[in-house]
Amino acid sequence: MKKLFIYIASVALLFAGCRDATDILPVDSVAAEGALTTPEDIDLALSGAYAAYNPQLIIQFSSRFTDDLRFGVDNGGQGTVEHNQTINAGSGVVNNIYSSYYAVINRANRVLEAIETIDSSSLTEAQVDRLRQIEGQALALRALAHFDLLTVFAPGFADGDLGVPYIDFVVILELPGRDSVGDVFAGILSDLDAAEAILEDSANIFLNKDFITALKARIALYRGNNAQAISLADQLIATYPLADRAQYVAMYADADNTEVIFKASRTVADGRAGGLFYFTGTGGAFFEMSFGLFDSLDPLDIRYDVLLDDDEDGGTIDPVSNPPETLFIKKYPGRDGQFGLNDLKLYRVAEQYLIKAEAQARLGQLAEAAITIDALRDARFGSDQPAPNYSTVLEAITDILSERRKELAYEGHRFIDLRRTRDITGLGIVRNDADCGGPTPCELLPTDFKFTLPIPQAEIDVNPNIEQNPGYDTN
Amino acid sequence: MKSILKNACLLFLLVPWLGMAQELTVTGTVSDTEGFPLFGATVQIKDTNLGVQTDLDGTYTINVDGSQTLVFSYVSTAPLEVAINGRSQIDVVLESEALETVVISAPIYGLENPTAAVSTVKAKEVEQVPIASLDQVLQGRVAGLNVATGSGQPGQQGTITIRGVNSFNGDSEPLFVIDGVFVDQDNFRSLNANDIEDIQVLKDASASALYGSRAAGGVIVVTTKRGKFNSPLTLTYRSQYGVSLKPDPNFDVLSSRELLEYQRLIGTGAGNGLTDQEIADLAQINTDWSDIFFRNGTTISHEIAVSRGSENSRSFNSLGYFEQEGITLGSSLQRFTFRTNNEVRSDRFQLSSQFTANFSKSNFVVDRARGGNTGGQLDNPFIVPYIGLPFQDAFNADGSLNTFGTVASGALNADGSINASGANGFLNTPYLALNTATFNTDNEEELRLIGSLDASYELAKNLKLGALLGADYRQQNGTIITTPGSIRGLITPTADSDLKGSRQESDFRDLRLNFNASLKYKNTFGDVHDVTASLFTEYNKRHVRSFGFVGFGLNPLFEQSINGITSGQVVELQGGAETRPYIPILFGSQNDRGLFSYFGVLSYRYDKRYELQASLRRDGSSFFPDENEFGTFYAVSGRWNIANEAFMAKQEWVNELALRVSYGTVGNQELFIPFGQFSLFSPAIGYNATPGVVPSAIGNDNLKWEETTQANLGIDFSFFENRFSGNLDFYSNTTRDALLFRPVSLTSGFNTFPDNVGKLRNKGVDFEFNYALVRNEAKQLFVNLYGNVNYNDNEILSLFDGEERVGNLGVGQSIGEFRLVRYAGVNPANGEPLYLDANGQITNQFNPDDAVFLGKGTQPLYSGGFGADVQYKGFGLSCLWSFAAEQYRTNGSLAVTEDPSLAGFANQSTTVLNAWSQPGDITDVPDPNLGGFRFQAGDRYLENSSFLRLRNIVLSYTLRGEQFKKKPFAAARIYMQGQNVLTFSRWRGFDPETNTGSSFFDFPTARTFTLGLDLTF
Repeated sequence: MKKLFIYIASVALLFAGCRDATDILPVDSVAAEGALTTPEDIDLALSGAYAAYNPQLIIQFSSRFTDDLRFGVDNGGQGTVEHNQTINAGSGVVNNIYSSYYAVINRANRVLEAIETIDSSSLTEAQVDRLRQIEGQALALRALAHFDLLTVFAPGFADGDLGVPYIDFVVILELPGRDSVGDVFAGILSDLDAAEAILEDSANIFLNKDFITALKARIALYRGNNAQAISLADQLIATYPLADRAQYVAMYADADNTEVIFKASRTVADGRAGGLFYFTGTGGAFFEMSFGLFDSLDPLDIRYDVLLDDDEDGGTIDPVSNPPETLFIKKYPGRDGQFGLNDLKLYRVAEQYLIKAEAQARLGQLAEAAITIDALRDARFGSDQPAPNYSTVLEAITDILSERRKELAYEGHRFIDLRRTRDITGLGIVRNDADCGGPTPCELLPTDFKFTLPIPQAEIDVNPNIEQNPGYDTN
Repeated sequence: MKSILKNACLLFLLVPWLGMAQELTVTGTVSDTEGFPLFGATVQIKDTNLGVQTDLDGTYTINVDGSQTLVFSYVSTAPLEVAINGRSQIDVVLESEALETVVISAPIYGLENPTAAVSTVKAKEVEQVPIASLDQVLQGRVAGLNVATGSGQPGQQGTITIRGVNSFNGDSEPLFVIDGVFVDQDNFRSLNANDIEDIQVLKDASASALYGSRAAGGVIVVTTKRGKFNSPLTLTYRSQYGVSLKPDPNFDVLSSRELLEYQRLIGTGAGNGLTDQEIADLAQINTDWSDIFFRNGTTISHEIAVSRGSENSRSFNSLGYFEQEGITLGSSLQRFTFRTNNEVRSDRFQLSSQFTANFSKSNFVVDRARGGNTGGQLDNPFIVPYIGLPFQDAFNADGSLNTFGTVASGALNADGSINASGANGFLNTPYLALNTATFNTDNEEELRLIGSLDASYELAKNLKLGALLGADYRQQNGTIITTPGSIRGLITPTADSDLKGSRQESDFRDLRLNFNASLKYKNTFGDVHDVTASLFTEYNKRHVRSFGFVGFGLNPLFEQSINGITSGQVVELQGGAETRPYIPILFGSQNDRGLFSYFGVLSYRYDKRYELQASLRRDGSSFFPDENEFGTFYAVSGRWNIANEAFMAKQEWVNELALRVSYGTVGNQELFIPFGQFSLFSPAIGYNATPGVVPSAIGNDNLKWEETTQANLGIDFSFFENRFSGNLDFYSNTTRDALLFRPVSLTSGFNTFPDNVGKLRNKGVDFEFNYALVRNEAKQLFVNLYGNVNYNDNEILSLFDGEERVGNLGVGQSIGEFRLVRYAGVNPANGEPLYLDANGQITNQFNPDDAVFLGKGTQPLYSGGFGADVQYKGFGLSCLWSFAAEQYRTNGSLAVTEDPSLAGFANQSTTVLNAWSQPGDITDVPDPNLGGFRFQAGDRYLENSSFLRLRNIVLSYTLRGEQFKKKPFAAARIYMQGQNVLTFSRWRGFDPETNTGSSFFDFPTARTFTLGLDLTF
C-alpha cells in the first residue's frame, strides 16, 4: 500500500512540476521588451551601437576595388572578388556592408526608442543630461551610417537618384523600399541638426559637434553645394591646425590627435585595420601598395613614410635605382605592440582642406584652390612648396584628386572620389600596367554600372519593395 | 566445462523423475521464420524450472513427461507453447515479433501496437560492427531510414532522416529513446552497440504519437540486453582486431612536371618563367601527399558480457573496451563501456534498472566537421592530397618526415632561420598540416551516463501502475593545446610575444531527465474482446551548461600542463609599449528547456482479427509563448489480420497477411534555439573596449507547434512457410506551420526570424522483404536474401504570404534542392565561361538572379540496402549493400583544384590540362588566363553523389564446444569483416557520403577490415 501512495504522490508531483518544465526564461540573454529601462542600460546599448559601426568594410572595398592596391606575395585568394571587380548581388562583401550598416541603424533606433519610452520624472538631473547626450550620439550615428550607405549603394548624389531606405524606426517585418537620395539626405541632415542642438563637447572617439560640421561639409561637397562646403570647412580649418610631420607620423600610431576630428576607436576586441592587407597573425601580406600609388609618392613627402614600409628588405627603396619587388603598406602600423591595430581616423582637418580646395575649383576659384592645396602640401613636406598653378577646372580637379589619393589613401575615399569626379575627368578606374593584367582588369570605364554596388540579393529576394541598381538587374 | 556442469545438474535434477513419469526424450530444432536455426533458444517445461537451451544448430534434447507442455522462447520472439502429446521430435519455428505482433518494447509504455509501421533491427545486425557510432550502423538496414555521415572521425555521428526531411529549419532527426530514456540524438560515440537487444524504428503517427513532440521525425527505440529469466550463467568474450584503410580517391591531381608546366603557362608560382630543364630538375621530386597523410588505422576491441536469470530475476552485465584510429595521424577514439541491467519481479511487482557508464577519449584533427572549421584550414590533413604541391619533398635529407617546411615552402628564410609568416602560409600547407597533427592537441573526454528505473505494480486485477525515471548525462571535457614549438604556436598569442602557445579547456554538460507515470487497464471480455486503456503523464527537462577558457603563453617546461599557462597580468615590452599579451579568454553558456505532456491510449482487439488503437495527447513546451504552449496531437490506427479470417483458412501458403492503416498528428518544437519566442538583448563587448548590450535576436511571440499529419497504409505478409515475408508501406506526411528561420529585410539588422510558415509534404513507399532462398536442414545449408528500399518525394507546398520562393526554398520544389545559375561551358571563341540566364539564353554574365531550381537535391530520391546471409554448417557469409540514388552535392574541393588564381600555391586537378587555350577549343574548363571563376561557378561543380556501397561483409566460422573432447567452450565464432569495402559512385572525391550539400576537403569514411573472435562459455 505504501508503494501506492508513493506512486500517487509522484503523479501529483508531476502535475505540480508542469510549469517548471514549460515556463523557462533565458539566462544568457534578456527579453528585449523592457530590457532598457535605465539611462545606464541605454548607455550600454549605445556602446553596442557604436561597436557595430565598422567603417573598415568600406575602406576595404574602396581600397581593393580601385587602383591603390595590388595582390601581395602571400595572397591566397583574399579580396579577389573586389580586386578583380567581379562583384555581383550575391557577393559576400555587398551583403556585409549593407547588413553591417543597417545593424548600426537598428541599434541606434533601439536606443532612441528606449529613450522615448523611459520615464524621466524619476531620473536625476545628471541622468537626464546623460540621456540627452546618448540621444545626440545615436542620432549622429544613424546619420553617419545612412551617409556611408549612400556613398556605395546610390548611383549618384542628385536628389532624384535612387537612395537607400532611410530607417528611423525599429524594423522587424516591415519591407522598406528605397528613398530618393534627396529624401535620405533630408533625413541625415535633420538627424545631424537635432544632434548638433544637443551634443556637448566630447572626446574625438565619439560623434561630436565638430564631426557634424565635418560630415555636413563632406555632404555639401558631394551634393555640389560648394559655397556651403567652403564655409563649413573653414569653420574646422579655423579650429584644427594641420599636423606637422612628426605629429602626422604619430597620428597614425594613435599618439597624436592634432588634426583628428573623429576617429573610430579600435581595441583588441575589434577587427584590425592591418587586416586590410595582412594576415594579422603571421604578418603575411595578401595586398600591397599598387605601383600606381607608389609612383605618385615623393620620398620627401611624409606621406611616403607613413604609407610605405620601405625597410622590409633591409634598405631604403629608391624608385629608380632600386625598384621594389614588394611594397608593404604601413598606414596601420599598430600600437601597443599589437600588429595592425589602429584607430580609424575617419574625419581629419586635412580632408577639410581638400573639400575646400575642390569646392573652390568647382566654383572656378582656381587660384584660391591652389592656395588651399599648397597649405596642405607645405605641412606634409615640412617646407614651403611651390603653389600649383591651375589653368582649367579639369587640371585643378585632377591635381586635387591626386592629392586626395595620397592624403586619404586606405581611409575609404578613393572609390567615392573617383566616382564623384568621373564627370569632370572622364576617367573611371585606371590601373598602372604593373598592377593589373590577366583576371585583374586594368580599367573600369567611367560609364560602368559597377561604380555602384548592387543591393544584396538577400534583400532583393525578401523585399519586393526594393529596386536593384541598374546593370545588376538583367531580368 | 560450464556445459558439463550444466548437463550434470540437469541429469541430477532429472533423476527423481525417472521412475515417476512416462519418461520421454524429445529432440528437435528451433528455427526462426527465416529458417535460421536459433542458438540459445530456451526450451522449458511449462510450470517447472527445468529447461535446456538449443545449441548452434538450433537443436535440443530434453527429457520430459510425455504429457507435459514445452515452452519455446527466444530473444525478441513470442514464446510458443507446444503440448508434447507423446511425440519424440518437435521442431518449431519461433516467429519474430516483427512479423507476429509488434511490441513497442521501450518499457516506458510496454504497450503492444500491432497497428504501427515499425521496422526492427536485431542484435546480430549491430553487434561487432566496427563503427563506433551506433546511428551509422543502421545505414542500409531499415527502409526509409537514411544516415548521412559527414566525417570519417571514429565515433562521428551521422544525420538521420526517416522518410524524408519534414521541417524547414526545425529538427528533422528522429527522437532516440534508449530503455525509456529520451537521449541526445546526436551523440553515440561513447555507447556500445553490442549491448543492444533490438532497435525499433517507428515511422508512422500511430507509433510516434506515443512519443509526442519531437517524434515528427520518427522514433528510434533502443532496448538493451536484459538476460533471460530461468537461464544459466552465460559468459561471452568478444574481441576484434582490424585495420582501416583510406578510401579510393576518385580524382587525380597534377604531377610535378604537369603542375610546373601549367604554372609556367599561366605565369604563376614556382613554375613561372622556368626553362624545360629547370622544370625537369624540380620535377624529380613528385610527392603523392595522400600517401603521406593517410595511414592505416587500427581497431581493437574486447568485451565481456555476463547474463543470467532465475525465476524472478535476470541480469545482463557487460564491460567493453574499444579503440579505433582514424585514417590520418591524430584521429582516434578510445572507449570504455560498462552496463548493468537488472530486473526483479514478483507476482504483482516488477522493477528493472538499466544503467550504463561510459568514458571515451577522442583525438581530433583539424577537419571540416570539427568545431567551427570550414575545411579550408591549411592544417586540415584532407586539404593536402588536393592542394599539396607535388614538387615539395615530404622528407628531410636524413629520410625523416619533414614536419616544418623548407626554404622553398617559405617556412625558413634563406639563412635557415624560421619565417613565422611563411610557415603559416599557403605554400607551406603540407608541412603545416603535418606539424599541427604531430605537435598540437585537440581532444575531448566524454563521460556518458544513461540510466533508467522502471517499475510497475499491479494495483488490482487488470490494473497496473507504472513509473519510469530516466536520465541521460553527458559531460565533455575538451582540451586544445597549441604547443609553443609548433608552427601555429609561432604566432600564438602573437608573433611578438615572448612566450608562445595556447591552451583551451572547455566543459560541457548536458543533463536530460524524463519522468513518466502511467496507469494501465487491460482485460479480455468474452474471450475475443481485448481492451487496453492507459493514461500517462510525462515530464522532460534538459539542462545545458558550458564554460571554458583559453589561456596563452605556455611555459615550455610545462607545455602539457594547465599550470603552464602564463598569467594574464604579465606585462611585456613590445615595440616600446607595455602590453599584456596573455589575457585569457573566458566563455560559457547556460540554458534549460522542458516539456510536459499527458496522454491516453486506447486499444481494442477483436478475435485476433481486428485491431484498433487511438491515442490523444497534450504537450506543453518551454519553446512557445504561454498561449501557444500546449499542442494537441492524436492518432488512430487499425489492423486487419486477414490471415486469421476463416475464409483464409484454406490458403495454407499464407502464413500471415495483414493490412494496417494509421492516421494522426505529431508535433515538433525543436528549432535549435530554445528561446525563439523572445526578442533578445545579449551582453557583448561594446565600443572602445567598454561593456555593451546588443540586440541578438528577433523573437516571434506567436511561435507555436509545428505539426505533421502522417498517414500510412501498410501490408505485412509472410508466405510459403514463412519463406517470403516482408512489408510494404505507403505514406504521406504533411507538415503544417513549419518552423522556418524566415528571411527578413536586412534593414532590420538581422537576416531571419523564427516563424511558423508554410507547408511541406513527404510521400513515398517503404518496402522490406526477406526471402529464404535455400532452407536445407539436411545439408545444413541456408541462404537468405533481404532488402529494403525507400522512395521519398519531398515537396514544399507553400511558404508564406503567397511567396513562391524564399532563398533556396521554392514552392513545388524539394528541401535541399539546388538553385544555381546554370553553367553552360566555355565559349570556344575566347575561352570565357558561359551561363544560361533565367530564360535559358546563353550569356557571359554571371548574375545570381539567373539561378533556377535544378531538380537535383541533397536528399536522395531512393535509398536502401540489400544483402544476403549464407550459412553452411559452421560457415557463415553475410553482406549488406547500401545505396542512395538521385542525390547531389557541390564539389568545392574540385573547384579549388580548378581555380587558376590559386595555382601558384595549390596543386590542380588533371582536368585543367583540358583548359581552353586557343580559339576553337571545345572544353568545360575556361581559359586559365582569365582568372578563377570559383565564386561564379553556378552548377559547374554540382555532382551526382549517388552511390552503391558494400557496407558490410562478414565471413565467419563457428565451432561448437561439443566438437572437442574437453568442451572448452560452448561456442566459438571466428570471423573476418569488411566495412565500406567497395564503393561505386560517379562522385569525384574520396567519399560520396556526407551530410552537407557541399564538400570541402571532408574527412572521408574509411574502409575497415577486422578479424574477430566470439567465445561463449
